[in-house]
Amino acid sequence: MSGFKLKKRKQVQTAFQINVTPMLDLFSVLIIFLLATSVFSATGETLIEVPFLSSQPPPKQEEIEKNPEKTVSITIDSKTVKYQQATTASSVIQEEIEVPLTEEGLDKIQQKIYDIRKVTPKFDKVTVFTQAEVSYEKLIMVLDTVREYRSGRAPIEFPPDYKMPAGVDPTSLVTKVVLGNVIFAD
Amino acid sequence: MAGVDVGGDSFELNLYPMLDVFSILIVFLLMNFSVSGESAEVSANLELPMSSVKISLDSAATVAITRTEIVIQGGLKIPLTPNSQDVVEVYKKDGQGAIRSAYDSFKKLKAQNETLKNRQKNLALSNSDISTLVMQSDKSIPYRIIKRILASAQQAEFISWKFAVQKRDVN
Repeated sequence: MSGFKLKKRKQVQTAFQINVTPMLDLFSVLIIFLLATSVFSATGETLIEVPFLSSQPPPKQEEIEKNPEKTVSITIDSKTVKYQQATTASSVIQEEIEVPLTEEGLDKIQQKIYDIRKVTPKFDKVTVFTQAEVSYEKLIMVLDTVREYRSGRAPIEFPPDYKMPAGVDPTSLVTKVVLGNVIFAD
Repeated sequence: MAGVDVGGDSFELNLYPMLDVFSILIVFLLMNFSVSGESAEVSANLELPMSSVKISLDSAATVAITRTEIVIQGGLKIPLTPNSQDVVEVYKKDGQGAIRSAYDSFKKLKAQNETLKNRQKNLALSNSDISTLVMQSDKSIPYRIIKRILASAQQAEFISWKFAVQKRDVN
């Protein structure tokens, strides 16, 4: 080819690089904002009531005997928890179990409450009696048992005619918890 | 990319691993992001117990029982240290009913709440709103002390309590 040389086309290599520095700046600001505003240890609350002397006249004994309601009381000791079930018509204990103050023991108590509430949606009050030496932590453990569904128990579906009281947490197993021995000695 | 030209040699800082870490961190923080819930002012001597409750703490007048003192909103402090007359009263073995100084403090608080309810009609405060207190107690505090505080408040017509706890499930 008579000395004709094809000139090789000079390839221009262009390196594409994304400038990540602004992105990094943005990420840093975002992380600081999220760390500063997040609530990692949220504080919750559990509602309880203390007995209060009412000026309302008590219901008539005949009416109580006509429609007796189940009553449940729980007594917390430093090592055990006692569950007692009676009715408003009589103070005679119908059922009583005593379990150790452990997750397993408390689970048995919740099963009892769950069974009653499932059959009788109107039953919605548990009275808790606590001995003087029981710590706040143990008390909360028992209050959790009364309130929060555990061990995968499905929330109870109440009949359509059942009206949930106003101002309570409808997701609770029992909405009204009364601390029994506030005024009087143990 | 950040680069520095030193005597003809170009040093480039590889920011991609850092970017990866930041991305993961942001995703994690966004997934756990929660601003709901009253953040309780918990002191060093107060460790709340864990609970599986789902309701976040609402605002109300607070009573804090730490390992060293009882603090009632409004100023009263009852030390839980030896040689304190109040402590003798609180710890009394057969002690029951209200603690005088705490009762006085609750009575004052109740009067303030009543005044607030009457003045701030637009807030539409109910009787239950002004009769509710928040209890922040250290998890080791015995019921003997809690009971005396409950009784003192009950005498001052505070009958509803919100026991503060540490939520297991943040969201």
